[in-house]
Amino acid sequence: MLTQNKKQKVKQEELVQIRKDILRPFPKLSPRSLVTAIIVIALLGWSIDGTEASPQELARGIPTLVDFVIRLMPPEFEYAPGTETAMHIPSFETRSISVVDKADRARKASDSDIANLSQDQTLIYVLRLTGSSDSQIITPEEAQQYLPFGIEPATAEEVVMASEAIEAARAEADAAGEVMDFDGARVFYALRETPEDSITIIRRDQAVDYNADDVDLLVPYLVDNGYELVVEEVEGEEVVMVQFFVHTLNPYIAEAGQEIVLDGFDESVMIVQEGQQSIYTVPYYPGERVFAKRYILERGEILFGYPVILDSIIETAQIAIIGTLFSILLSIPFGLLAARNTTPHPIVYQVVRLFLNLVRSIPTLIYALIMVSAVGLGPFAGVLAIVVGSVGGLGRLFAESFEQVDPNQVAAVRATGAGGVQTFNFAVLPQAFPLLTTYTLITFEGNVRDSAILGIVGAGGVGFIIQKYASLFQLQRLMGAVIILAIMTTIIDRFSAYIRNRII
Amino acid sequence: MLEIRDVRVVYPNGTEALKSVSMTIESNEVVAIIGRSGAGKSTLLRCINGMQAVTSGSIKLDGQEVTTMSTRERRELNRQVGFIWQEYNLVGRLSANMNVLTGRLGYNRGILNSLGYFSSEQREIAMQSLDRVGMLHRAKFRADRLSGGEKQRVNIARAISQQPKLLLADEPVASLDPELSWTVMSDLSRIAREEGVPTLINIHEVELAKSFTDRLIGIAQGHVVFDGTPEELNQQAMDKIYRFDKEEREAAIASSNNQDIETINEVELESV
Repeated sequence: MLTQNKKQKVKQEELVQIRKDILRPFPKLSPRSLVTAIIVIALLGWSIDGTEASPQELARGIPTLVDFVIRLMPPEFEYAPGTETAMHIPSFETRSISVVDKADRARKASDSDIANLSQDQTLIYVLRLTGSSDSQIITPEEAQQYLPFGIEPATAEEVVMASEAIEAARAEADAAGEVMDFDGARVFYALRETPEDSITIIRRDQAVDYNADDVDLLVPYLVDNGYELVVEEVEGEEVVMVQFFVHTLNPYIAEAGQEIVLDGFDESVMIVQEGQQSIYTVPYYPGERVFAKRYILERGEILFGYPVILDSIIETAQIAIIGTLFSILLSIPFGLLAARNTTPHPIVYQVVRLFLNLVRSIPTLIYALIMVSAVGLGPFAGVLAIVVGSVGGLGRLFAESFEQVDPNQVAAVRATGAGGVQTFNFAVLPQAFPLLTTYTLITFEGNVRDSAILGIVGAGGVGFIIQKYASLFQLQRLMGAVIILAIMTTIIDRFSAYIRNRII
Repeated sequence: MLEIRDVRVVYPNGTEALKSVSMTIESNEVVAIIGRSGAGKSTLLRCINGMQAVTSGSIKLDGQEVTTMSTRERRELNRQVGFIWQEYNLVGRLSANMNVLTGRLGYNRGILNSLGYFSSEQREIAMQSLDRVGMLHRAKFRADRLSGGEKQRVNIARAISQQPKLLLADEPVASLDPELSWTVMSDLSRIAREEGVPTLINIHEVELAKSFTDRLIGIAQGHVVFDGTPEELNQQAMDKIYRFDKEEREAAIASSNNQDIETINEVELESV
């Protein structure tokens, strides 16, 4: 009797507790779920930061993207002979508006310069400052000093050819009524990389992306010193000049021990030491920091070590995380429209299905190429490529998940007078949740593998480094990078399997 | 309270589920609708709830015409009519309490609601509903972890948490064993009487219907063939509801001459 009373009392207490719990307006948050939420938010924030994903970046990229897509039209399926010459100077195609006037002044300067050339002289380099009438010609020997290893000076004919092309581009722009703004443009260069290459003319303010301040700093130097680079002495410290060659040929002077952030792409490093120069062509990872002194001490060879690989592997994971996140956000509406039982109209269903299939049929790497041209090199392009590349598949899988939902449960909730959104939240979503999670995690695992390869086209991640190592025959480092990548992929696969088991 | 006049329902495939059904339900009545499988009982309930379009005729709830309602009005109607399903149709992955709270969705719209927010007032009502059916100790259980009887009670709690003007129960005990059927039916009728809600119950088991309802309506071949108190339901009335085609079938059986008439009748009755 006594035990029975006791039992009843325990039961009563239990009921009181349940009452309390279910009367809370919001469900109770356990410390564990709070910690999980904080970890997830931190992870997402860190990834967004790492991948430089921002609305501004996207907004800036959209006009370029639209432009790019317009340029893709109409598609051409046949090979047209005779188009090679036009293809030969692609830089004017894409940069016509910004180059025109600068190049025009270059031509004027060059004309007289070319006229004054003696027979045995070759024009290789024209440098002029806006605001001064000076235009100077240097000999191949002099120019070689400024040119990266393996780059040959342009010939006079090539300069003329380039000028004509510029003139044509300018006339075209005039005819189209374009207004051009030249403020801030001061230095331009003509150079070519290999004898087969066309001349590329790049305006200084286009070089801004690389090292604008350095150009400003260096140009007076060049002028004052007859285009000779000066190695300075600073208080007994060994002073080093590190020269970066981007396409703009903008040298950079660094003091020994100075930290330099390499922010370009396809850069070479020239290290000048006590009058002797040696050029090392090494792959750089954008954003990598190098210390001038260190490289000199280490036989002038630049160590390109594992920290860089780790960084880029982490970036690969970040691209996959953020790409998957945005992909989910897009896939839910697409999935709803493409599921037979939730679509507003059969026509919408057909159209969205078709759209998703089309999007899915193009590989992520192609999207990466497009996105690189839209938002520039870097991980953000990778994020966009992953989003577009996976939304086709994920949207369809989400649609399948919504179609698997038991219609009777949905009807029961609707029969209580719930609205459309409420029915989705309280009947469709809870039922579809395990499938949605499974499909999301599978897609995420695929995205990790996809994002590893995006670097090959410059969209961030470890692919960039792997490609560089492969092309430089640094095969042992290549193997190292691949092994680290494999380890990371395995860890992520394990982790997502764990989550899947927890949820289902 | 509820007036049904000459309701006729023809399905798109040509089946005439209801030919002409008329009835009037007064408030605070618990009514059982009996009839053979396919007699149109479920169709009738679905018409009242607006889930099934009516071919002709009129259904008036509190003087409001149900058959010609717009989507918005129907949502309002659904809120006022509690529906108890044979197969429970609880959302399996939500807790029993959450399932009962879905009964309050019609009263609780807004963005916060999407995050699972219900005001304490709404939660109070849901809790009381759960308490009424004796399922409070299962409130935090996931609905798919409950037994059949428990699920049906939660289902009832969901319907009454809507604070309905009318309760419709479509075969509420058909999936339960006899013992459970008895208790669930008694709970249902008790709650309906306490709440003073007119209740329509589709049911197969005539004994259960007789024990727990005030009035029985028999439907056969799309017509109302019986309407009266449990005491009035005699053998003749039963024959009208369940064995209206007795002669036909006997003739068919006699012509085939292969099977015993009585076994056939038993089989038929069981399936009823």
